[in-house]
Amino acid sequence: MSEKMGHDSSSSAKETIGAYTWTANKCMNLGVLLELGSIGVGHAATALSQILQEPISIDVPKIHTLPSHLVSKFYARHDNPTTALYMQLIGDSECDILLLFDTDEAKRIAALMTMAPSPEELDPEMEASAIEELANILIGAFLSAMSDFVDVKLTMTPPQRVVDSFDAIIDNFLVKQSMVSEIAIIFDTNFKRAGGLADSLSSCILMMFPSKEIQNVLIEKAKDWLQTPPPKPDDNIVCAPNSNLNVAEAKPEEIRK
Amino acid sequence: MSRKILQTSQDPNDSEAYCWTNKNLNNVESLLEIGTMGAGHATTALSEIVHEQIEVEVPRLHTAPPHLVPKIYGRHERPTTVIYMQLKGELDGDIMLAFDADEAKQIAAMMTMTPNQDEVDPALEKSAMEELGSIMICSFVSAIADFAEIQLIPTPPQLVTDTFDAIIDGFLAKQALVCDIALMFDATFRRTHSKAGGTIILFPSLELQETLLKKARKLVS
Repeated sequence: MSEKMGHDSSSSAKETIGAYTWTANKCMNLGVLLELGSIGVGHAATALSQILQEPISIDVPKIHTLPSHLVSKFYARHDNPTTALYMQLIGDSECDILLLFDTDEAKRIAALMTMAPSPEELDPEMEASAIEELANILIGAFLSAMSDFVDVKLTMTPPQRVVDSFDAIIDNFLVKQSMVSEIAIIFDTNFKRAGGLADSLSSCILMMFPSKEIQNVLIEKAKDWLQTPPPKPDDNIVCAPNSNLNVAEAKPEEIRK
Repeated sequence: MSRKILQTSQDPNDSEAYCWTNKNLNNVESLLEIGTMGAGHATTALSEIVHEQIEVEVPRLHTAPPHLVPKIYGRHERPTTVIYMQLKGELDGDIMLAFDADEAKQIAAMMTMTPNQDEVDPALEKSAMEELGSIMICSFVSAIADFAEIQLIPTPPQLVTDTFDAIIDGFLAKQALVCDIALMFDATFRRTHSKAGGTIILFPSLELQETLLKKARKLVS
């Protein structure tokens, strides 16, 4: 692979092997990414729960570092019909974001959103539009939470909807990652609807395939944030009458108008 | 590493996958930190013996399928002198101290005050290296044992000279019997005026890993 890409083959071997080796620095970096992702996922889950008016539970967010060819085995959803919404970050650093639903579950959610009496009676165009909107909101919440935190501009392309088998969908993204490294890095989490089937397959997965660049950007920014000293407790008290009260006063006026 | 420690997912299909949550990342970090502590003590001991400054590389923890471990080190056929000690008692594990064969000769010459490394008596070289291994490994182990408040009793040192891969294969096989991912800690160090270096490698057993983690968690909380 690496020779085809014109890279030094030994550096690629190191990359592969690097996935198994831990130094204090690497633990820190992965921890930072995981934490950022968790923040985003929390907001996304809240958004989903508000749209569906249902409690949503999330799995512990995870980062997978594994050889690309093992990824489909890992999820073990091989030929399940899946509705995927694909978005990409706009900007210099590439990052793919996927929202995956079981096809039936996507229909059910779309029916809920469009107030259709049953999933079967749902207009397919309406379904597509509803699900795309859902993805927009979810991923928007996910990214804006992260970008607020680390102060990086993260904007995304409009969602594209695909219905295919699970493996066929994720293969594309794995190929993209395997061009630069033999180890795929995937951030993912599961959302579960309280009203959904108990079967875990009916859950919704949020997957992010961060590129090397975006990883570095996020880690660097987060580390900067860690190093800035926390505001002194006194400052807050001093600031409160000036800043917070102004906001509080502004609101009632707006309402009166 | 123990599947119990690394694995958070209940999915039986992900036996070969590596998935990281906050919890198991913390575990890796704690083990790494404990190892770093031991390595610090061991290299201090070496520096006192050879009266030289010792450079230490960033200590690493590896969690890899056993068949990939020789590739991680990439020392394949290099002649290596290893001093090997086993931990006995309630908690077991393997520790080895690996030197390039040449470097081992040089250090032995220094320790026995022989002017030329080719003139070292082989029996004396063996004895010196075993002594060095004993000192370094014991300071490594006792640092860990002090930290975790456990008893770790090492066996007498054994000296082996062979290719690197041949030596670690034995240890890997032992770990492969109990879990499908090998876990080892290593720290590489080098005398300032020498080209070659040494590596101290710890293969903790599952029980030892868990005991250390329990202790680390207690300290943190």
